[in-house]
Amino acid sequence: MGNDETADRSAAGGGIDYELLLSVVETMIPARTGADAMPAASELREFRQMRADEAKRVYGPLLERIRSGRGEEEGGHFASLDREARESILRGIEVEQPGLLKGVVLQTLIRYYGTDTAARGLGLEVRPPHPHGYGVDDTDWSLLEPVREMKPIYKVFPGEGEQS
Amino acid sequence: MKRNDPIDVLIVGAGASGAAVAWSLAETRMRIVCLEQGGWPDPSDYPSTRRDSEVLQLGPHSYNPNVRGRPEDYPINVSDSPISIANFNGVGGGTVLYAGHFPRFHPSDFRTRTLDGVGEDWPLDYERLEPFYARNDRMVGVAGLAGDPAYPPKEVQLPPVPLGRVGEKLASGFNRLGWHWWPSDSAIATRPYGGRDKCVNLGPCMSGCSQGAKSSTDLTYWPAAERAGVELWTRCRVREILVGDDDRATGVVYYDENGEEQRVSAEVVILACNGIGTPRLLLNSTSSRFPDGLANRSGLVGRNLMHHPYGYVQGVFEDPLDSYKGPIGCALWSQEFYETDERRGFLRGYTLQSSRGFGPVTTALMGLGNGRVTWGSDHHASFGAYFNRIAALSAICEDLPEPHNTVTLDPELVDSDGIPAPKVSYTLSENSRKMMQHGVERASEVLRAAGARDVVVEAPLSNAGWHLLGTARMGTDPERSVVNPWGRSHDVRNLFIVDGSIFVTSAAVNPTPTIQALALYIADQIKDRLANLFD
Repeated sequence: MGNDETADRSAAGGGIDYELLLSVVETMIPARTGADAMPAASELREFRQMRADEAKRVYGPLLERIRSGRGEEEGGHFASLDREARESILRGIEVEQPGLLKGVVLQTLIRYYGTDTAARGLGLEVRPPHPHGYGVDDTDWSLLEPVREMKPIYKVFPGEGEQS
Repeated sequence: MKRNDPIDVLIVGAGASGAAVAWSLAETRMRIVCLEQGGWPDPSDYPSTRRDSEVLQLGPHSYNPNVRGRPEDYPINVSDSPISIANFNGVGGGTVLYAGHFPRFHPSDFRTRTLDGVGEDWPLDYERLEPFYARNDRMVGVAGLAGDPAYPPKEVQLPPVPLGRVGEKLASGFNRLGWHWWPSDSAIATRPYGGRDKCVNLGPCMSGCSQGAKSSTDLTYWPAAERAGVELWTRCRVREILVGDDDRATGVVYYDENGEEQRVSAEVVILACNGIGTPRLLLNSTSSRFPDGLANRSGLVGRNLMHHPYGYVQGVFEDPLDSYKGPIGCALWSQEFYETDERRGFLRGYTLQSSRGFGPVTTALMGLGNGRVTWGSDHHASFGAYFNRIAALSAICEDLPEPHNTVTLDPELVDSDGIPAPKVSYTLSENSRKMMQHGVERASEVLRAAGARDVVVEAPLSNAGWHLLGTARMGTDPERSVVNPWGRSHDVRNLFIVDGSIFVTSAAVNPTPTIQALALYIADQIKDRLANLFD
C-alpha cells in the first residue's frame, strides 16, 4: 500500500482496517489487463476513500470474520496472502456463511459498476441517460412478412356486442 | 371554489383510471375533486437524469413501495405471497412507473366461463368496450403497427418502437419457428404527440420517463382535466368512506398535507385506488350498516386477487446487443399461445413479451443472483459474457380468479397516518403453474432458435406484482360481484369503482388499456344516467 492510500484512509476516517478492506474487494473484483482492461475494485476511489461508517456497515462483519479466522488455519494476515489464497479463504466463508459473503459481494458490485471508471472500461458513455438518450437503429420491418401472411389467430365466437 | 364548498363527484386516486374518469366527467361541469395521497412527480428528479440512475432504482426510486418507503407510500405485507407488489403513489399512479406496454384484451377474454368453463364471463364484451379503447388510445398516443393477426382491426397513432438488436434477434427466433409475433402496442411517443416529446431510448422506463415520451396520466389526462375544471388535491390520504343510514356514501375522512384530519361531503364517490388500495379503503370503512367493510355484503371485497404470474426467460447471446438502449419492456409480443388449446394441459393462455437488458449495475446484481456473474478471478470473464448480451421473453400468464387469493387488513401494520395497511395472501394455481412452465419452455425455444447460447429462467418472477386486479369485481349478481356492469356498487348506489379491482378475469396482457377503457366507459354510463343515477 502506498502513500496515496494513507492519505485516502485519513480522508475517509479511522476505525476500519482499510488495508484489509481493499484486499477483500481486490479479491472479489481483481484487475483485468490487456485491450479490455478493467481496474481492480481496490484501485477505485470509491473503495479507497469510503467513509468509515459506510465501510464498517458494509464490510465490518466480513472483516471481523476474516480476522477471527486468521492465524494458523488461514495462514497469517489476509492482505499479505497471494490472490489464490485470499480467494480460497473467501470461498470458505461463502460456504459457511453464504448470506454474509453474498451481501458484501452485492454491495461491492453496486459500488464498482456505478463508477465512471468502470463505465469507461466497459466502453460506455459516462453520462446520465437523459437528456441525450441513445440511438437505436431503424427496424427492417420486412422481418414481419411471414407474420403478415398469417390468418387471424384470435378466437371469434357468436354473442359479441351484447351486454348481460 | 373553497375546499368546503359542496362536491358533486369525489374521486380517490389520481392514477390510470382516476385521471381518465375525471377527464371524461369534466364536461358535465359538476364540481369534481380528486384526492391523491402522493404529490406531483417531478420528471427532472427521475433516475435517468442522474449518473447513478441504476442505484437509485434499487432504493428511493424502486417500484416496490416497501423498498421505496416514502411517506405517501403505504406498507404492504407480502409475507404470504411469492410475488411482491409494485405501485406508485402520486399523480399518474402506476402509469409513472409502468413499462408502457399497451395491449388490449382479446374478445375471448370476456367470455372465459362460456368458452372454457373457468373464471366468470364479464358483463360486457370487447365490442362494447372497443370505442373506449380507441378513445383512450388517442389520448395516450399508441405506438404500434396496424394489422396484427392476433387482434380485431384497430388503429394506432404512432410508428412502432424500434426493435433494436434485441427485438430483431427475437423476431428471427419466432420466424424460424413459424410463430406469431408483432411489434408491441406501446404508450410511448415515437414522434412528438399531444405536447409530449419523442422517445430517445433512455431505457429505464420503469423509474419514470424524464423525457416525457411515455404516456403517464400526469402528462396526458390530468393537464386536460385540470384545464376543464377538475380539482386535484395532492397529499390527501383518504382513511375511510362515510355512509349514511340510507346506505349512501356521504363523503370521506382524509388526512391533508399537514397530517390534519379532514372531512368532505360528496354526492358521488369514485374509487380509483388499484386492486389493493381500493379493497383496503373499503375494508377500512366499516360501520353498523357495513360491519365487514363498505360495499361488501357479497363478502367479495378483497377476494379473487389476480396478478399475472410472469415466467421470465433470458437468452444470453455471443454478440453485443446494445440491450440497455431503448424502452425496456416494449419491442414485440407473441400471442401464439394466447387462446385455449386443451392439448397443452391447461386452460387459457399467455402472451410472450420481449424485454431488453440492463445497465452494468443491474446486470451484475442479476448475474450474481442467477450465477452467471461470479466474483473472484473469473469475474470479468463472466461479467463480460453476460453484460449487453441479454434478450428476454416473459410469459405473462392469465391468472384466474380464486377466492383464496386475497387482500385483507394487516392486524398490526399501518401507514404513516396510522391507517391499517393491506396484507396480500396469494398462491399460484396448478393451472397457472402448468401455463407458466409451458411459457418458459416455449420462450426458451425462441431464444435458442434466435441463437442464444444460454438461457436463464426465473419463474415466477418475484418482483412482478405490477398488475393488481379482481378484488371488487363487476357483475350482474350482487351475491357474486361487488359492482354492477357499469361500475356502481351493488350495495351503495352512489359509490363507483373504476380501477383494476373490477376486473372479472385478468386476460394475459398488461391491464392499463383495459383499466382506462373501463373508466371511460363507466364515466359515459354516469353521464348517460345522470337523471336517475341512483335508482
